[in-house]
Amino acid sequence: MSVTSIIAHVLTGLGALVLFASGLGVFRLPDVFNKMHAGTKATTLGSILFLTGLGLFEPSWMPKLLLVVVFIVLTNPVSSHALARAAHNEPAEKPDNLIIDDLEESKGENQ
Amino acid sequence: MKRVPAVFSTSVILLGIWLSLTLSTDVQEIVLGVVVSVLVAVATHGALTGNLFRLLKPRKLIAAIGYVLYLLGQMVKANIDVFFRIFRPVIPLKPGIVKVNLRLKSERAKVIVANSITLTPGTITIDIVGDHIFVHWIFLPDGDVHAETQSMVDGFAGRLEKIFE
Amino acid sequence: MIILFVLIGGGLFLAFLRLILGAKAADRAVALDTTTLITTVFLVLVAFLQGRSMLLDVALVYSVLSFLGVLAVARYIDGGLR
Repeated sequence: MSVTSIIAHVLTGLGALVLFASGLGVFRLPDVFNKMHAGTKATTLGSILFLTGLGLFEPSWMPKLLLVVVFIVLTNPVSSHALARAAHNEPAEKPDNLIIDDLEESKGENQ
Repeated sequence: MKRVPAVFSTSVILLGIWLSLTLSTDVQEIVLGVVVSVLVAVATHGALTGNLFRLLKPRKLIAAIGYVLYLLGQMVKANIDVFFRIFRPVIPLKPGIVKVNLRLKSERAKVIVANSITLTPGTITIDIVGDHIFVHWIFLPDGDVHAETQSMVDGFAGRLEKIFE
Repeated sequence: MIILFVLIGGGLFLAFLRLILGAKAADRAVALDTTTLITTVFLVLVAFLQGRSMLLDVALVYSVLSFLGVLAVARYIDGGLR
């Protein structure tokens, strides 16, 4: 076992664990915004760790895997942002457990 | 003529993507890649990346690398936070949306701040309206919520101001 | 390798279960976002286990298309083109 191989095993193991946690989080957390916390942060870091780990196993795939990683890091927050805004704009979808909601108040000011 | 540096940096980035996709050193592939990336960059006026040559000063380069390292550290913290929250029998929740100021001139910097906040512990960005940013907390901090959020946002905005100014 | 397969498959299964059960449309959209991202990583794992680099291109295109799909769903929840 070389050092690279050990690092690769650790990275892929951690990445898989974080991806599992994101699936569990999306399943367990109660409403849209809280689900988004698990669905965005955990999947982004999980795929970074897992794909770089696999890239260490197979160095010739590294450039393409890094391309996938960069794409995921750039697009994943954007899609969650779009979903969050859509869910907040639609009264039927908005959760009612928010303790403070400054966005709702500022909407009232504009009208 | 003002767009030449932007067009050039866009075509360099596109060529890099092309080369990592094809993974070949064949002359024909490289020539095709150069032609296509220059054509796309000219057609879009270099709007994809803007002028990247402004970043090539040592001070700004160090600031950019520091920002990426800071973001990676925050992401690791965020995942430890999410991880230990999810495996509890009863998940502790205290959600709320907080409005704070975000004073940055460049639109691109605003997008980077919004995406970074989504990846940091306990917060996601809901919306940006003008100079204000709306942040959702999974568990509101104790004490003055607005001051806490403002200091968190300023941590990113201050670092980005050194890169874009 | 089996452990990785089980962990990622378990995450995929749970997110997919939420996609089917989801109480509201927005919950389903978030679950869809997570499901497609885990599927991308899963495709790369399958490519590694079978040693077929062609599946990497499939994973790349899948991630682009899933991003566009989630944006379209977000627009739909927001009330379509206004």
